[in-house]
Amino acid sequence: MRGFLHLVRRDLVQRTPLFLASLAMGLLILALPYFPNMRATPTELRGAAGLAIAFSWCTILAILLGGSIFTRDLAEGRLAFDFRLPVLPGTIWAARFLAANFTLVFAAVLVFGPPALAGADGLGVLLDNPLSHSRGGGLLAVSLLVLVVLVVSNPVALGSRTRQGWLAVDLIAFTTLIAAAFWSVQLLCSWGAVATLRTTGALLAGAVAIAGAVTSARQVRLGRTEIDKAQKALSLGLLFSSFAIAGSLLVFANWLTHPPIEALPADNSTALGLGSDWVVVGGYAPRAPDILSRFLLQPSTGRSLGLGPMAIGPPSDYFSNAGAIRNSVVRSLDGSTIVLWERDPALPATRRLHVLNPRADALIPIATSITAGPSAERWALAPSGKSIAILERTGSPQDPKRIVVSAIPSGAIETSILLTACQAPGDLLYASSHELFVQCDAWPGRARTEAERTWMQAANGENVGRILRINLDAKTLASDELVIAGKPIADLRNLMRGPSGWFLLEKDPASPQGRTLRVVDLESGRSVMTLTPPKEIEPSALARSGQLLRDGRLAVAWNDPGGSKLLIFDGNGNLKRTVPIAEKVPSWILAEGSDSHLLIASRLPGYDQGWDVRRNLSIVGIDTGIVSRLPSFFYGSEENNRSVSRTVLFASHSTSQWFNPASNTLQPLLNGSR
Amino acid sequence: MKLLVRDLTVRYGRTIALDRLSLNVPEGSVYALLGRNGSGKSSLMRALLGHRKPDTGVVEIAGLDPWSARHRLMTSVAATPETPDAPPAMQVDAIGKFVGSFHRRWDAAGFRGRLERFGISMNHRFGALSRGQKSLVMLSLALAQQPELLLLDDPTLGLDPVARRFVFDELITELADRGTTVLLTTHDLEGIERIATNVGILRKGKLLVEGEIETLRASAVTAGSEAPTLEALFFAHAGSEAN
Repeated sequence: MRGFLHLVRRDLVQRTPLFLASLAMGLLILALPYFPNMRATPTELRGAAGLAIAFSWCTILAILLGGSIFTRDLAEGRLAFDFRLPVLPGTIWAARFLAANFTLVFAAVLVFGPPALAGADGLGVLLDNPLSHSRGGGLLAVSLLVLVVLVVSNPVALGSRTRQGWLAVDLIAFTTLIAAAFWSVQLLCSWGAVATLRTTGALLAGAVAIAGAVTSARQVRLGRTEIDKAQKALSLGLLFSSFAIAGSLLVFANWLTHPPIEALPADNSTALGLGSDWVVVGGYAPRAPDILSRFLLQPSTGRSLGLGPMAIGPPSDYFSNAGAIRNSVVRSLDGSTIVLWERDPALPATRRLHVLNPRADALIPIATSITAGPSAERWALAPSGKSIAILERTGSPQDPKRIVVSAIPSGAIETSILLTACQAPGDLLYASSHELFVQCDAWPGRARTEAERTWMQAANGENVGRILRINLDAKTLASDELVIAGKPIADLRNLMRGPSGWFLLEKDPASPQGRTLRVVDLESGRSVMTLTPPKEIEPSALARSGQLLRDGRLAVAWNDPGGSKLLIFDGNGNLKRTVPIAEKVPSWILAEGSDSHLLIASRLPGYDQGWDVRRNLSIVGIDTGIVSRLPSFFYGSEENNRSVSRTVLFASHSTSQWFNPASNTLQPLLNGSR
Repeated sequence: MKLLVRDLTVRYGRTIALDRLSLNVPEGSVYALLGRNGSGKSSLMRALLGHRKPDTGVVEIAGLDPWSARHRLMTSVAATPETPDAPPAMQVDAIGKFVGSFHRRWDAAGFRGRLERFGISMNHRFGALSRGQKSLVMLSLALAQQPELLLLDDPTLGLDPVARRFVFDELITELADRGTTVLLTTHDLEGIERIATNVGILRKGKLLVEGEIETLRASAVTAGSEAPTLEALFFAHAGSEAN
């Protein structure tokens, strides 16, 4: 230790002229306000000049010291002087390295010290660097940068002195490191991970600084007084270090961007149903708080698939994660296909459609030739998963839009129709495999997240405007007013959910004078039920609150001022059972479970009609009339609204819950926690 | 201090600097290693000082490997390099204090006394001294450590005749006082003849001849001739190649 201190002291004493020059600069900055024609205030002037000069001076010193810390004495044959002293090679290295760092710190203090003591604004800027988001982060970043310059200057100086083949090895090391850094930056940028990128950059700089220091120690220990040996030791060390850092960087970046689904916090993730028992889950793993990780998950089996970085922009240009996640992954109604819009690395601002078979043993997305650029606005997946309809702009916003239906996965265009009759097309819906609905003339200025609920509103009997109906078989276009709320029963035409697709509830043409309604399967065009609702029940409420069950019965949640009750019609349209659900609060059907049970939600007395307020849950036995209470929940998320086979998710007690229709129970969706 | 060199080989790439070299340096002897430029003398010094790891063979000083135990050996081994290498910006006095701070047996008075005898000011920066003065400072530094083994790599290189005499006088005094083992390389055959007890002659990394100087001279005496000088011995062995 005594020898180490002697060596440090010697190096520092030898640099006395540098310290005097630094002090002179500090005094010069102190006197700057007294120079003529200085417009800034003295504190601003001293702060800005102090920071700029201190940083520049330290960087220059780092280059000079880094280049001379070992190399100058080595090349001029003077390092042997130290090696004749009774000290370890590590002591020689540590003393010289530490003395160089001390020199930088002292120089910075001497440059910035006098103006700081006299009052300078710059120090706060340095400590509270807005890029660092942490107290002292700016100072740490600048120090790290100067340290990297110091350690990198050593191999550069040594390489310039030796002029031998080891430079090729250094070049390989440098190229490897740059390539890995470039790849990692690209990867993290593709995930939009700005904060994580900053942290990774700091870790990389730290690793380079450590590697530079360690390899220079190796250079001194193995090369000692011979420059060729020193170059060999340094170059091999750098090569090994660069491979290690590059490999670690790639693994680290991959680790950051690909957390396992178990890493998602159960209390802070977004889960959206895709129909049946598939959900897509999005959340932020603690390891990278700014990376939105998405997974396809089958809760019943635990199978999952990590998805790539979410494509921002059409056709998933939504303002919330939930909306974006919802519009980036969809499952076909028949359950045969899940499609994903993923970023296309080769085409900026373009998404490529990927398709996977959820029933296969391995969940492997396959890229299709179908892409969506910035002109794509909306899209819908066919019930069979065999085609996709994309609404896209053809030019300026005033130009007519076009519907293009493409086969999956070939991308062959099956139908292309220019919507000249509709200035502002809205949402799309495959009513069946033969017919595509296009909402027309949506409210101008309507939020897109609201437009997304168009078909939910249609099913609820609300007016969603004019509907364009595209016959996909005949490739023809018709205009229709499908849903007009408040019209007489003769004009009633509502969409209604069924277990495997959409149905139409309309006035029965066979009974023009009566109150008889019929339910038409839009896929087959056949009437599946006729019914005459009781006089006290508004016909459109059947569509708004009704759901066709798997066994052909119709369940309707009927609400009036006295409370809510469940009405059960048999397959012939006869009212068979009425089950009281809750007093003085409305209820609605969420999902059909097993063994003729329904999951029902009820508003809590006194609560507002918000979407994310607390609800009560009940399991109702249709045949038994038994109502079983479940824990209440805060957020009920339905599946993508293009799907009718519901998956229902809840957030309850800080845990995402999934309604398992097979067991009629709520189960945790994720097990992770912060 | 015992010094062992056995089958020592040092290579620089494809060039063999020392080829299975073995030396016998008796304790308390003054061993003069002679050889032409490029014969491997400096490579041997580097290996002995632990600056260079031997490619093969054994080097031991007092039973320790100079490569791995250099820091321990340097408490009792002093050396002067072929080219003076003290920090040029430091004053001679400061260099003395600096080196002295590492050695318990540091003879500060002896260091100052030698420099006075050499006529070198303590206040001069090392870099401002002449080549000869630098060599004398380096020798003074080495002697002030009062080492048990002194390794001198051509200590009279570039010195004028007066300075050369200073060097050998100092060495003679040191040897008389302390009986230090000395291994030195030199081209100053006349000067070394005054103090060397043993001699070894190197050529192209190989030891051609080795032994006590008087024995070698006696063995070279032929009928009717006088004992040859060291220079004659050297030319007889190492100088033949030049012809």
